[in-house]
Amino acid sequence: MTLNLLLQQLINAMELGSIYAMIAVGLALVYGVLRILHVAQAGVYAAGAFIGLFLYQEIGSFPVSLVGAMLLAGALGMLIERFVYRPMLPRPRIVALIASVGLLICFSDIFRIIAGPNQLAFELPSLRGSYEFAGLVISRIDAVILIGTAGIFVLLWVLLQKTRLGFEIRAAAQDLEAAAVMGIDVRRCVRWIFFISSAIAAFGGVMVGVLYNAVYPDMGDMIAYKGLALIVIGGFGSLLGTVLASFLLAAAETVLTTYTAVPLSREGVAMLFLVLLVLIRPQGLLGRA
Amino acid sequence: MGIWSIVALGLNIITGYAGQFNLGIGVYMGTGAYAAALLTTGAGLGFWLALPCALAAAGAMGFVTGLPALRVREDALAVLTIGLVFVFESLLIYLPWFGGPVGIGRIPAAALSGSALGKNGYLALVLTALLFVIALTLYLKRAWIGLAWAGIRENELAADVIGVHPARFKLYAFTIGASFAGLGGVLYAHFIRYITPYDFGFLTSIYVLTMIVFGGIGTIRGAVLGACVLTFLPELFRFVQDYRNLIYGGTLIGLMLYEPRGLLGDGSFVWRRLTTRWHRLRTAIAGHKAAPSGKPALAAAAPGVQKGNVGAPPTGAQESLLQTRDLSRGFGGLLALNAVSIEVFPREIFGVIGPNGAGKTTLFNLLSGTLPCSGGGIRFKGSRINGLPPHRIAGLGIGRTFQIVRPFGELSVMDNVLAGIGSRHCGRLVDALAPRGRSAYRAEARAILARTDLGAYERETAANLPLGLLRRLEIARALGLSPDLILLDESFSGLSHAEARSLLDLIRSLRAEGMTIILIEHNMRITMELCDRIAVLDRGAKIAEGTPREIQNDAAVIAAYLGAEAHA
Repeated sequence: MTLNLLLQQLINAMELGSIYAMIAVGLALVYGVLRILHVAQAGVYAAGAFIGLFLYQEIGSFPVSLVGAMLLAGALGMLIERFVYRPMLPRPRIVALIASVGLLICFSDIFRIIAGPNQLAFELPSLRGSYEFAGLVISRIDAVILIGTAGIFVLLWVLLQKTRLGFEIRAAAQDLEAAAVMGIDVRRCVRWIFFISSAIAAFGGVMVGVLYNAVYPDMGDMIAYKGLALIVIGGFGSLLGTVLASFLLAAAETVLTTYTAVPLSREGVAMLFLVLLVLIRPQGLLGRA
Repeated sequence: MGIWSIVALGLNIITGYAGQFNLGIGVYMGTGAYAAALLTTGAGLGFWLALPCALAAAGAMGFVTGLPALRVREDALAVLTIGLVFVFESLLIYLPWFGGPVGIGRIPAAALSGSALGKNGYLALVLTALLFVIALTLYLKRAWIGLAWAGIRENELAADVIGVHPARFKLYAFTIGASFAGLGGVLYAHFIRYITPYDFGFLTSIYVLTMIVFGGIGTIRGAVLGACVLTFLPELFRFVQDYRNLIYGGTLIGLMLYEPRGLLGDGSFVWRRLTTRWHRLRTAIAGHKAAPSGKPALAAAAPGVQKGNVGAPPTGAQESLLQTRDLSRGFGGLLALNAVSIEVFPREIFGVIGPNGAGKTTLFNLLSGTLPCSGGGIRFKGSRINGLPPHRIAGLGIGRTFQIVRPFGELSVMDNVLAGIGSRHCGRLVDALAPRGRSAYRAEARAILARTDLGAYERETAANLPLGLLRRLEIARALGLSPDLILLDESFSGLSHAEARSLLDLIRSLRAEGMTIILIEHNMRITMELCDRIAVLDRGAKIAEGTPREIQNDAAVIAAYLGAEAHA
C-alpha cells in the first residue's frame, strides 16, 4: 500500500516534471543562443492551449488539432523573434526582458478579449478514464503526457545531436558570432529555435489544458516564472541540466507539500526550493563554474 | 503617483546606479508597508514612530536579500529576485501574523500634531517625502558612493582592482534602495489604509521596473516621469477599459523597440532635444551678458616630471618590494604557472616576457588577487598578500591594467580617474558618503590626465575613445590609487610609434618618482630599452632572469622564445 502510494506520487511528480521541462527546455534553448529571459513563453504556452482547443472544437480530431496548435504556436514564436527580439539584440539585455514582459501582458489581454475572462473547458472524452496496471492507476491523459514528453525529448535529442541543423544550433549556442563567421546561417538557427521551443510549449499547453480541463489566459505564467529559475539551476543553456532540474523541482514540490507542513503555498515552496538551489550552486547543476 | 515615484527611485538606486538586476522591489515595499501596518494597528504606535521602524525593517530586508546578490549576478540574480517575491508573498499569506490573504485593514491615517491629515495634507506629506528622496538620491550620486556604484555597474572586476569592494557597495545599494521602497510602502499603507499580500507581489515589482525603464533607467527624472506616466496611463485609457492592458503591454514593446533608453534617458531622442534647446538658450543669454570666456588652459605642468633614466637599478642589498615564492596556478590539469619565484625591488622596472600562453597574465592575476593561487606565496612590502581580495591588494598600493581593456565605458574620462582616486577616500561608509566634487580631487585627477596626455578628453565618455587612449586611461585610473607598484599588461600593444614613445617617457618619470613597475610586453625593443631586469616565462615556468643583456645572450631563452620566433 505505501509502496503503491509512493509509486503513485512518483508518477505525479514525473508528470509535473514533464510539464515544467516542456516550458523550461524552450526557455533554455532561447537563452542558450540569444541570452534572453523569454518570459513571454508563458503566453506562447497559453496560445498553444487556446489554439488547440479551438481547432478541436472546429475539427474534432485531437491529434490533428494538437499538431496544428504546435505548428501555429511555432510560427507565433518565429514572429516574436523576428519583430520583437531581433531589433533588440544589440541593446542591454534588460530591454528584451521588459519587451518580453510587455508581450506577456499583451498576450494575456488578447486571450481575455477573444475568449473571455473565464476558464474554458477542454473536454476530451477519449483521454478520460484510466489504465490499471499492477494495482497502480494511471489515467490515460497521464500516460499520454509522459509518453509524449519522452517522445518529444528523444526527437529533440536526435535533432540536436544527429542532424546538421542541430549541429549548427549547438555551434550558435557556443558563440553566435563565431558561428556566423564560420558560415552558419545564424538567423535560420534562431528561427528554428523559436519554432521548436514554441511548439514544445504549445504541446505542454494543450496537454495541461486537457489534464486540468481548463484553458485560461494566464495559465502559463507561474510555470514560466519557475521555468526561468529552472534554466538557472540547470546551468544556463544546458538542456540536460534544465530537464534534470525540472524533475528535481517536481519531486521536491510533491514530497514537501505532501509530507511536511511547511507554512507556504505550493508555489511558495517551489520558489523557496529554487532560491536555495540557486544560492547553493550559482553555476547550476550542470553548468561550469 | 508620488508614492510610486519614491519606490521607483529606490529601484533606481539598486538597478540603475549599482546595476544589480532586481525584479523583486515589491518585497521591500511590502516590508515597509506591513511593518508600518502592524506597528500602528497591533502595537498602537503612532505614524511618526512607526515610520522609522518600518524604514529600518525595509533596509534590513534589503541587506538580507542583498547577500545572495554577492553570489550570483545578472540573469541569475534577476531570477533569484523573482523567486524571493513569490516566497515573500507566500509567507505573508501563510504565516499567522500577517492577516493571511485578506491582509491588514483599518490602518490609521497619518496624523500631524494630534489631528489626522486630510487628503491635501497627505499629498503634501508624500510630496515632501518625494523631494527628500530626490535630494538624497542626487546627493548620493555625487558622493564617492555614486561613483563606486557606477564602477561596479560598468565593470565589476575593474572596480575591484582599483580598490572598490564590490560586495560592500552592493549591500549599501540594496539597503538604501530598499529603505526608499520601504518608505513608499509605508506611505502606500497609510494612504490606501488596507493592504494585502497581493499588493506587493511579482506584478507590482515588474510594474515598478517598467516605470524606471520607461522613463530612462539610472536617472531621477526618468524614475519620476515613468511613475507618473504609468500611473496616469490607465486613467487616461479608461474609455477603452477593455484594452487597457493591451495598450500598456504594447507601449512597453514599442518603447523598447524604438527608444530603449527610455523617454528621458541619457542619449534618448527627447532628452537630447531638450538638452540642446536648453544649451542654446543658455548660450544665447550668456552671449548677451558677456563675451564667452575661453576654456581654461589645461593644467599642463604635472608636478615634478623628470626625464631620463634617473632611478638607478637597485642593488641586491636592498629590501625587495614584491617577492613570489614557488607561485603556482593550475586550470584543470594544466599548470598555467609552475613554481615561479621572482623578486622585484623598489624603483625597478621589471619586465615579464614569454611566448603566448606562457602564464604572464596569470602571474598578474595572481599578483592583483583576481585569481587565487593554488600554491606558493606572494609577499608585498614584507607581508603576505596571497589570498587577499583584489580591492585589499589595491588598497595596499598595487595598481594594474588589463591586457583586454576594461574601462568604465559609460563614465567620463575624468570620472574613470576619479574612481581610482576615490577608493583611497572611501574606506569607511562615512567617507564614501562624502561628496566627491571637491576641487582638490579634480585637480589631482587633472594632473594625472595631463601626464598621461588625456587632458583634452576629460569630458569624453570612455567608451568613445580608441584603444590607444583607453590603454592610457587604464594607466591613469591605476595611478589614481597612487600605487607603489603598478602592473602594466601589454600597455604598448596597439600603440602608434609616437604614442609608445610618450608612454616610455611616462613610465620612466613614474619610476623617477619612486614607483615600481612590472610590465608584460611582446615588443622586444621596448622591453630591452626600458627594463632593468627581465624574467622569461615559458609554459608556466621561469626559464631565465637577468638584465636585458644577459637575457639576450641566454641560450635557453633563445631556444624557447627567440628561436621559436625565428622559425615562425
